[in-house]
Amino acid sequence: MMQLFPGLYELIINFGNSVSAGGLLGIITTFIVVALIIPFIPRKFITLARIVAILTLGSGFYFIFMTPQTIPSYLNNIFVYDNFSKFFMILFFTIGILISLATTNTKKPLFYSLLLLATVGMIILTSTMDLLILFIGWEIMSVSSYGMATLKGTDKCCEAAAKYFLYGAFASAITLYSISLIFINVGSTNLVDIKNYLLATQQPDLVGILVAVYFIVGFGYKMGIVPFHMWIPDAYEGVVSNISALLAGDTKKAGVAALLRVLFAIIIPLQIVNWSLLLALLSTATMIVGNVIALYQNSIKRMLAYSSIAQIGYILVGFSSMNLTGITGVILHSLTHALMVTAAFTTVLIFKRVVNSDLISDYAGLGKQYPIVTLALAINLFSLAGVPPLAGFISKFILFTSAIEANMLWLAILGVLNSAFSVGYYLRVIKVMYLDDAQNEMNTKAKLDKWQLLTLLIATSLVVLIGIFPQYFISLAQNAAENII
Amino acid sequence: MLGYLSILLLVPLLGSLLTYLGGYISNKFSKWFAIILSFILLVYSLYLALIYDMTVQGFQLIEEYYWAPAFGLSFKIGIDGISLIMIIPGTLLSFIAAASSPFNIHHHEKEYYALLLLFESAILGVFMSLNLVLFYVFWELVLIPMFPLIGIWGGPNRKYAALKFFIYTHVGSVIMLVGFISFYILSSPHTFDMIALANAGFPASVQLWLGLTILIGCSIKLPIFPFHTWLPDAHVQAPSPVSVLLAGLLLKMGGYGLIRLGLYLTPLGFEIMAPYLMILAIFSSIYAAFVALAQTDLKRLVAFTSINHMGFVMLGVSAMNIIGVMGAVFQMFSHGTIIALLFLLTGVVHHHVGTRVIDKLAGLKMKLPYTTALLAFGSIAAISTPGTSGFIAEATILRGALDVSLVSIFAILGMALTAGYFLWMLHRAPFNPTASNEVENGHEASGWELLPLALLVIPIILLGVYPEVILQYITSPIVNLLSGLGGA
Repeated sequence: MMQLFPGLYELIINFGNSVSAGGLLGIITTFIVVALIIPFIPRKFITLARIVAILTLGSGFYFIFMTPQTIPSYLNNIFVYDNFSKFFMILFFTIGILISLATTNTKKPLFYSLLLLATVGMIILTSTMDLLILFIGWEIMSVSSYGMATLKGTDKCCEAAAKYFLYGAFASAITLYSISLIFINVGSTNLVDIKNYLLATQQPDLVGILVAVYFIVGFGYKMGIVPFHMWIPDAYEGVVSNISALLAGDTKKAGVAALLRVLFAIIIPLQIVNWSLLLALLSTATMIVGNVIALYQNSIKRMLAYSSIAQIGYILVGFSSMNLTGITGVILHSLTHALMVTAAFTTVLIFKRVVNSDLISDYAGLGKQYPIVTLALAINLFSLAGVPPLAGFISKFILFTSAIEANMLWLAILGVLNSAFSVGYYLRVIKVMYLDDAQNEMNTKAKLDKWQLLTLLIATSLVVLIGIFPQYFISLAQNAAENII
Repeated sequence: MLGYLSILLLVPLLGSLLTYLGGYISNKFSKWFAIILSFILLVYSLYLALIYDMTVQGFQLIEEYYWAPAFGLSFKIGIDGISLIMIIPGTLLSFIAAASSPFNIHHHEKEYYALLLLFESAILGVFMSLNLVLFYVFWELVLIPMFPLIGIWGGPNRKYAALKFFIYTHVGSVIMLVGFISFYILSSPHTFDMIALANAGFPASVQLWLGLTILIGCSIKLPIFPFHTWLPDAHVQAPSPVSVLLAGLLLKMGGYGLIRLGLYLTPLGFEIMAPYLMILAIFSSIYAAFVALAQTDLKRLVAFTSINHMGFVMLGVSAMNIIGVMGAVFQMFSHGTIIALLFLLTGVVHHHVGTRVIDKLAGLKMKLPYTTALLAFGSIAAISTPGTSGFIAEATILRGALDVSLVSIFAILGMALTAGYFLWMLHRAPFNPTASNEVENGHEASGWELLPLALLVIPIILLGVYPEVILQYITSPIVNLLSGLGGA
């Protein structure tokens, strides 16, 4: 046996070694292996596939908190396993678990396999210092999520997925272009080398500036920075709600992580451009466009899509302050927004069975029929609006603090006014659910899905928990931010 | 071990949960539990007044717990005389509102009483926070129960009123939040602690714009003239116990904010703004009086009285001397009780006659003699007749304001107009010799329904006759508060 498959034997030994070594390599190996096994689980045992995926994602926490924090020496220049990557891994695992819990509407085990692969991509891109590896991680994530978006197979779904794919491909191309530009000039794709090179050349480096802008564009597509946000409402509306949660909670935050890692390595040496102002202007545009258009949406999914554009605007406030507080805010808001938006889309998924519609007006009267689920959605919407003492308030509060700290009072004022403005559309949903009387007949006999309710419960309790006891999460985010600046 | 104050915050919060859960057993349980609990809290707050040590300078009963030290957020609460004089109406009016609710609220009772207690917890938190962000948290938390309280149990136009109320006051709050964060950034070491910030000694130019953000936040809550439009809608649409909370407590947050944040943290900034504020306050009060003259709905008339009286609070604050500020605090207490009485009366009248239109209430005294007596008493107190607390309050404020500027003589016009529209209302409605059809079919309210209203008569007369009850608590804190200013 051993003679027949020498390669296989080596592979198994290597696999065993990586997993037992723990840390980053352990996570990646475990995830990939499980992702390769899951598609072979028969469709009958779809629940088994879901549980396996959840356990695998859960094992990520074990690897982060319980195993040695080292990476093999031959990967030293490529991977870093710092607080920043750990924080985002925690985010991706949490959201991944929540989404797998909520995904009871598919019959294909492949979905969970793709979810794990997408998570692998995100792990790679947050923990690498090499632009090419980062691009590979980016593509693993993107391609897996394209697959997930089409998995339902309806026309509407595929149209949305096609839009997502086309924009995503364009974004990838731009990212790759800027990586090649930088490689030609610097002779390396390692971020540390690039930073040292840019620090060494004293004169303004036009290529560096161009590259930084391209990175903002490339990652900005995934994040939904205005004016690269066009695909977001269509895609979020078209795909099934749990995929919307994945796009808004997971891949969007991967864009934030990548931009944080790359941008600050490139732009800190290039201080001749007022990056702060550029990012602040992008932030202003993103907040205003997101919030104003969100006010006019009739579909709750489109509303949440525009709202998540606006939330990226708040995140950019932290980017543009370019200080430790700002990055802390960005990182924390990535986590809190991911939780809130996942909870919100899960509620949409739950209510879909009851009202069979995504229109806000059809949500009338739900408050009387399903008080607890409605309350959970209300808590998350209040949190999105930044009403204390919920998680969204804490992270937004840090973001606006950073802007004032960076002497950009105007940005902070614009931010809070936008935040106040956004209450208009969040509150409208709450008003419709609680105060209006039901217009159409509701399918009140519909049985709510236990798994989805569990997702909602976990996400909402985290939102409340982070709001009331934020210190642990703030210090996690602060430690992560110190790796960036 | 929890301190005195955190018990006062936690009991209504937990009580709110128990009220809701108990409602699954029986709605009666929710109702009685909320009423009894709010009564216990009233007694407890009176007990706080007894153990309050008047010889101590500054804050007392201070408690501090960690929240997020990384950004200066801490759960720091404590009271001085001014806070105490705000906390007592807080528990008093919450009890009165709960006790009068059984006659006004007939559906979704468990949710209603739970929200009522949640509101009580939040509003008491505002009056005892010593950390700016904690203050903001409670300030905003007040809105969350208030939105459904208006929106679910309110009048025909309730949804619009609730939305408008929430968005309007939220905008003011976030502007104030920017000011709060600026306090943090500008202070060194960075802190949100009010006591530390009050001693930070910011230059006047900084205090001016920090004070401006506070002014915007507080004058929307108060409300003062250009920001007042949410008030008539919210007050009129809300059920009468909720109107009591709105007018009696929520508006006081604005006045309390002006004193605790404006005068305490940014005295130099307010000194610059004071002359303009004085004119704004007088205008606001006269304007509200004129608008009240034109009202045909009794409840709207009472709502505009609120704006009128809150103008006097602003006037007292803008005088920036001891007498003026004392008058402002006194006015907040006194207005709270008077307006609570009047709003509950409009509820009683509406309930038993079926209308609130003043002309259709003609001859009320024949059918509802006790209600009419209370209405007459409330009106007399509202027009600040000597012997009622309203007189002491407005006379003190005028005395303080006249010390600063003779312009404030015009405020008397506001008082005179108030007397005008109230007496005219009394003349047209209850004391009209010919009864209208609606009144002919009306009935007198039961004793239980009038009992909470009658209770409110006690503080109004007591304070009118012996104002020292309150003044002894607030004199020394106000002297301290203004000691940083030359004009004190």
